Amino acid sequence: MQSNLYKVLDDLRQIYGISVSDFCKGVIDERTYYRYLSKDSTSSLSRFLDLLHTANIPLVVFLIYALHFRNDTASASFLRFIYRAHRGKYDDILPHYNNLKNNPGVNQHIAQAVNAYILRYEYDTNALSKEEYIKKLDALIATLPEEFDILTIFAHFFRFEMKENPTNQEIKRFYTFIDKHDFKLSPLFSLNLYDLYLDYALRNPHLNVENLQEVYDKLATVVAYFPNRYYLGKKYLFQAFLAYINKNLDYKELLIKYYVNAVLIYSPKVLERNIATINTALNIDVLALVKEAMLSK
Amino acid sequence: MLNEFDFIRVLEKLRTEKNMSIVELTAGIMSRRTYSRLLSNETRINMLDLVRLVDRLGFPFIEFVQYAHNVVFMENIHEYEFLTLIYNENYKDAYDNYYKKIKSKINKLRTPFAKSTTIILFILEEKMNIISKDILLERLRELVDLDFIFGQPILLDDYIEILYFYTPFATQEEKERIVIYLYETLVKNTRLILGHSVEMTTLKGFSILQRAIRKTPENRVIAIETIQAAMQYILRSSLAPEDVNVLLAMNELNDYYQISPYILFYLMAALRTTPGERFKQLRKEIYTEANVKTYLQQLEAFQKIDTTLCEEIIKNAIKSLQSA
Repeated sequence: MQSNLYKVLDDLRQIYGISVSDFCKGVIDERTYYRYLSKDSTSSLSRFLDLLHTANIPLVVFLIYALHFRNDTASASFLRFIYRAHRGKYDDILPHYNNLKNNPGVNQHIAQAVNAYILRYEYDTNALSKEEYIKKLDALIATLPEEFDILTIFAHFFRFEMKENPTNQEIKRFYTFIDKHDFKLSPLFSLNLYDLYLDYALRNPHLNVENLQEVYDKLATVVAYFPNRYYLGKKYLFQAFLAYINKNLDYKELLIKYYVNAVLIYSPKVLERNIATINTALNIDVLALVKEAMLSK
Repeated sequence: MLNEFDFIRVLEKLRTEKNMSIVELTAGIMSRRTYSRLLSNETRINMLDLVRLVDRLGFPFIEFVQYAHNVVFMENIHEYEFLTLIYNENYKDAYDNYYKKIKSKINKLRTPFAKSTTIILFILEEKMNIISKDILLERLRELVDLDFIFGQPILLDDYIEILYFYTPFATQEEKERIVIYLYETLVKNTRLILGHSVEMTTLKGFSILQRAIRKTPENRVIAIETIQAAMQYILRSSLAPEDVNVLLAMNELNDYYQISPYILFYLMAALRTTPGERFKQLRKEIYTEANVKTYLQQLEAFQKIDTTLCEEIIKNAIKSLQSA
């Protein structure tokens, strides 16, 4: 494992065009560097950080390079696949899906979330029937520890979404995790989880899912730092939903924002589908609202 | 820059989240006492022991490093908020809420924007009349090393921030060098782009590039290729408010080169939905009666296209390139 980290470091050294002797100067001798590179002999963490620092390579560069750019196509595809699968953005998802299918288990931990998203994607694109999807999710969940963590929770949530008669106890279990988990550890996975939770509540208003305001507040906090238009739009939508529940008329303006934003990211066909759900849930004609609002600037 | 103790703090955070006892975590790796001393920052850890501890918690090491990076970034988010306020020209809020705090830790900044934050501190001081414009220019010339940035094999977010804030003060010759550098990097993909958010870095790069392109008939191809590449990037990333800044610059190029009618439509929609005082202000300028009329016409037309808006604009750009 340690030698893998040094291999990433050595890739970056070469990209930066730094000779091994310059790279090691003042931190370690070259022989030690090669030893770290070839096998797991013990290096101090500080020494590793010193090498990065002395070469003026920010840790974030090391990290992003290791996660996305190293010649490990499956690793590079993890986050890209999840990002697309979560949003239902399938137009360019196939290369990432194929990479992951052809290289299973490269990163066991993230794979627990990825495998859940793969099944959801396959179900969504009709590659799996409803029965097959549920069966495969159950099989995946059987391999996971009982206690949720931010990656294993997705399989559980997708399975929960498929239940015909969900209990409040089950919904509460997700909220308990959301409440306890520190989103700073993994903001993007947390954001996806909040989005799933609130979206579920929106699509099932008869269930009176609890703690929506608390989850919305968390979502809004993270969206402020990751203002992707998909999440920004969902923020407006959930805010509108909460305003509607609380009989606050601001929900109309928020729906307009959701629609105008959605025009930027969805094709008309997908947008029409999304809006139909909202029109039904909130008993409103969103497009008419938009036209009226634009004329009043 | 993360330090060793940051990793220990995150290790402990993950241990408690996983409900694992210290004994379970450390058995066979180190004594409980050593672990306690690590937590109180009294001793150092070797990398192999750290890798073993992380492994026992069930996390791949790279993911753990990412967690540590996320935690430190989020704990120091005020540094990034400061930068964002200046980026959105919200100088008063930046001054009232962050100036003293950032100034006091200027040599100890923890997010990856250390160099650009130093520069924008001076820009803020000039805006708030603490220093004169001449002093600001002097500081910028001392701090901004374009040769260094252009010579790097990787374009970092910190460099983009520097270019973003420096370009309005650059000489014409420097601006032309910036155009060549960004055109090669972003349109011709000659360099790796890395950063806290590659998307944000790239979009900021596109807005700098589009603003720096001189509007002349000779630059038509560069301008269209840039619009096409920028739109392709917006399609992939959909990131606000960076996309608005790209679109504002794109709209100016489009006014001159007439590439796609949907650019104004896209800009107006993006402005309407992007939070922030600056965008509210810009809305007032862009939402003229004529533009609103165009918007509503485009909204009707949009419902008849079979792709996304971005893809439609890309198609328009390709057509323009073919006829250029």
